[in-house]
Amino acid sequence: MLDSLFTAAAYLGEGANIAYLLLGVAVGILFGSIPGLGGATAIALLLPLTFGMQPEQAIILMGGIMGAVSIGGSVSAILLNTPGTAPNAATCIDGYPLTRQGKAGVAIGAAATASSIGGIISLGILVAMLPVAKSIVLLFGPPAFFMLAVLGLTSLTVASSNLLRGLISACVGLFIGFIGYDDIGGTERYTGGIEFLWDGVSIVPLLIGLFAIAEMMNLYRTGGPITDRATGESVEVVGTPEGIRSVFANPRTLFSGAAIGTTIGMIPGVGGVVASFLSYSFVAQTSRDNQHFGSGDVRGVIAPEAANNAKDGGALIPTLAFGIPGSAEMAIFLGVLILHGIDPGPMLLIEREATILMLVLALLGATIISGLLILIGARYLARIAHIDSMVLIPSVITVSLVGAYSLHNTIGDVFVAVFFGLVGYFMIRADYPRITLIIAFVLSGLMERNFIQSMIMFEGNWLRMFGDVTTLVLFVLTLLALSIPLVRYLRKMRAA
Amino acid sequence: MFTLFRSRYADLVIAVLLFIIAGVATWTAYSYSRASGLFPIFTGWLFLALTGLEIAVQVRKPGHSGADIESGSTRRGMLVELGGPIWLGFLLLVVYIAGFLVAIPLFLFLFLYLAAERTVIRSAVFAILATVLIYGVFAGLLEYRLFAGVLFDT
Repeated sequence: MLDSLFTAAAYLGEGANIAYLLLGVAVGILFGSIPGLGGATAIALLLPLTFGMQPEQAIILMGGIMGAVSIGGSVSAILLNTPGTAPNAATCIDGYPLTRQGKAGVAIGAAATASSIGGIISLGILVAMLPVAKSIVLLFGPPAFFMLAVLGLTSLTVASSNLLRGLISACVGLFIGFIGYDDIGGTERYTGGIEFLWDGVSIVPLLIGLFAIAEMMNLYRTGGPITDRATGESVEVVGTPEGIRSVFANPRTLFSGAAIGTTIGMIPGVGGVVASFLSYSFVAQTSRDNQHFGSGDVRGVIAPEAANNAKDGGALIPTLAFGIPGSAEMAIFLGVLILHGIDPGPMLLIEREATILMLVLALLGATIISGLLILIGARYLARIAHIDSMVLIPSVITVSLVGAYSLHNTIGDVFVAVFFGLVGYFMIRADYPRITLIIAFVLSGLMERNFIQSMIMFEGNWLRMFGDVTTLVLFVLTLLALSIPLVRYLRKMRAA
Repeated sequence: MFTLFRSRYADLVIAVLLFIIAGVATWTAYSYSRASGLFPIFTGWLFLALTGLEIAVQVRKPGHSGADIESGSTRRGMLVELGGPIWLGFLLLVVYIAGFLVAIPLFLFLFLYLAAERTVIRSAVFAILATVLIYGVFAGLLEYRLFAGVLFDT
């Protein structure tokens, strides 16, 4: 592993690769600090720029974005009481009261430091777990892999706002994944005779449509400036050294946040919002002198920010080891890997150790660099959130369409991006979760392959799948995940 | 305010539409070879069951009264709701006919002037600068060949 680490570090240290990392960090901070955009949109939008790059360079660019987004989101949460990304919402609870007390610098110093250290801790856990993950992954046969994908999809759906609609979206995603020529059966499926669809729906226009274009159309509907809170100009950002010191003065808060974030990140679908709020409530409930939580306690900034950035390290474990993404960002990142000919899953851990370590180093670098940049330029970043959405919308839409076209130089991809932009917009409006659609689409190939292999192994008798202990355990976990909303509903009924 | 997706029976209509799609997709899957159709058929029945359940939920749900629709704001609400898709459709049409080089500045200018209510000069300057930037990055720096439109594509 040490050899791979040095190889990765040497590659990352090359001039052009550092430039890609810095570009990723800049885009990550920018998209993180503008409420409503976030990491998924940033990665989808920058994806076309990576077509001509080496796979490793694309990974560095994406690592830069992923490492910087959550830190960027903390700035608008603290200064404007408007979370840049959804998981930053927990930071508003104590971050904004600190700003109102004239301690914006303390909050930003604490957020940037906690976020950076939280990210570093989770990446350490990721590196430590990789050798273990390697041996665990090899225990999984086709039935277990199929059931693991079902579990990932189910737990993600349970975490979404509407279980039934989440499952319906997942079915739609699977069917979109079926489109094209099927290598196993030698049949052309769901193409409607359109030659362009023989290769299937490409992930790039699909992502651009569902995330970048759909978000912009929704922004068009809401209109106006993205936030109308007091401008960053009027906020004094002083006291950052005190904020940095406060993180080291509260190691328990920091480590509990990082541990909660990493653990939650590993569970598909639970995501950053749960991680940051869980971390916040854990610290608020278990700390002594907790009467100031909610009215400007710096520990209320440290805990969610450490958890928020730590979740990425945890989320990379199922993404890289099993090819099962746990969030929209990870699904898009998986798309980047597939686009560049890197197949996530067991062989990735064995054959491309240096590539994974480079991603870890890129995330590490991005976390540290973005933390430093936030400490320096927080007050200027707060102004970004005041961009008029009516200027942002046409710019993002035109770049999206050009990006969709660039993949294969075909206008068909532009039509696909527009079609899924409309689908995504209607899904937002009708409250159908997009994330389950995209993850089902990404998983459709893996699920079908393992399903068919299992059927061949057990001569068509699918009940024999449960003879395998791992499969049975995963099936029970799937049932447990599905029962959560039911239990919640029954409890609510009993309470009523 | 009027919103298309909160209007009467919207949820039910969407559920029925999805049920029909699920039915067609499942029925189509039976026409494929055994290996190609196996998983789509499995998924299709699941899809049908879920959309059927959603229809049942929507039918039993109270409140399909349409009381949230204020008739006076219907037209304006409709425009706001469908404005994004209309602009997107316009851009796609111009891209298809005249290519990106014409579509990008035209779309940016019209959007800023009409939707964002910027002045003619500010809209034009922004449109030109943004087009130069997009072409600079994609065509210049990354050397991608951008679509010239069916009118100009040779």
